[in-house]
Amino acid sequence: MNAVFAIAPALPLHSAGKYVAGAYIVFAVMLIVYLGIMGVRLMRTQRELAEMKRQLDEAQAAEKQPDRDLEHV
Amino acid sequence: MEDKNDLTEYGKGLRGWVIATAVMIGLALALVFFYAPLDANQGFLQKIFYIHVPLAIMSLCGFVFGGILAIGHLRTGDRRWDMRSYVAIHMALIFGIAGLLAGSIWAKASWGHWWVWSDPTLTSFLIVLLLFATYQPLRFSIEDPERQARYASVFAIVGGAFVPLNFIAVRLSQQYVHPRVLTLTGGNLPGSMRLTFFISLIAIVLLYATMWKFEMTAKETRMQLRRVKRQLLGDDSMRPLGRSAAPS
Repeated sequence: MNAVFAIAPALPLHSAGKYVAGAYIVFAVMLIVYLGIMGVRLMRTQRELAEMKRQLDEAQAAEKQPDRDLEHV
Repeated sequence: MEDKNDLTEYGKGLRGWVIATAVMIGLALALVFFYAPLDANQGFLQKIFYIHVPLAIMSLCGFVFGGILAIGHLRTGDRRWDMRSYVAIHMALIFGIAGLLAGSIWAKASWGHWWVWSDPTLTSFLIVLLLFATYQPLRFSIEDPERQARYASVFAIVGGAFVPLNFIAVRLSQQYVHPRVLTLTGGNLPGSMRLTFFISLIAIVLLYATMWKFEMTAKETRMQLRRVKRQLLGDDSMRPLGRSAAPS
């Protein structure tokens, strides 16, 4: 780790560092906001998909029910 | 080998794209901060170059890409091309805004101003960005989806053709504040800086491609869900989509 720091340029955080950090942080924040929005939408889609699956299972169960009743007769 | 969990055409191989992008971004950041030497004039501040320029290049290429995809829509009438074009332009706008903000921060630190109106590179980029910022309102203003897609495609093609023309005009200008470090003859970047720049550029291109695929997958999944819903519950149970700028 010390070797890595030895070859790295010293971070002049007092002057240029804050601008460099700002530029990279702006990009990172935009990326995180985008991924956050997409993540929320994805969760909503997954929720809807789970609801559809539940409704499909219920519909299939209801279709099978009359057949079973007929077998008893 | 295909992943059986991938439900959509665009979802195929998405995991590989995400891993490749993450690796390249990590490599690019390592090169920027641990390998590329400090610039003789700007010092540490020049590190913004490795994020600002690739973002701006990718944004402009994204607008052209959107125009090319829109040609596919007008040629075939297939609305999937419109969707591809819409997502390409949407992504290019995000990259463009990020590039513009990074450049503005650099300008403040380097020139003492957030913005310099007299510089043709800055102003022309803003014009291109504002032009494509009207793409979504244009779509939203047209209710009929077929007409919306057609008009948006024409806009994307004209806008996409404007980008290289604009670039050439700026390159021909004589008065500029913006430094010219990349040229067809090699420019004046030393080898280690050039390598770092091209790795950063590849990382940003990969990020764009991955985000494009990701958004296409999300949109395609939502459309599939809507189709299944319609089949299962019937048309009457569906809520109307309402007016939207996004292709539906």
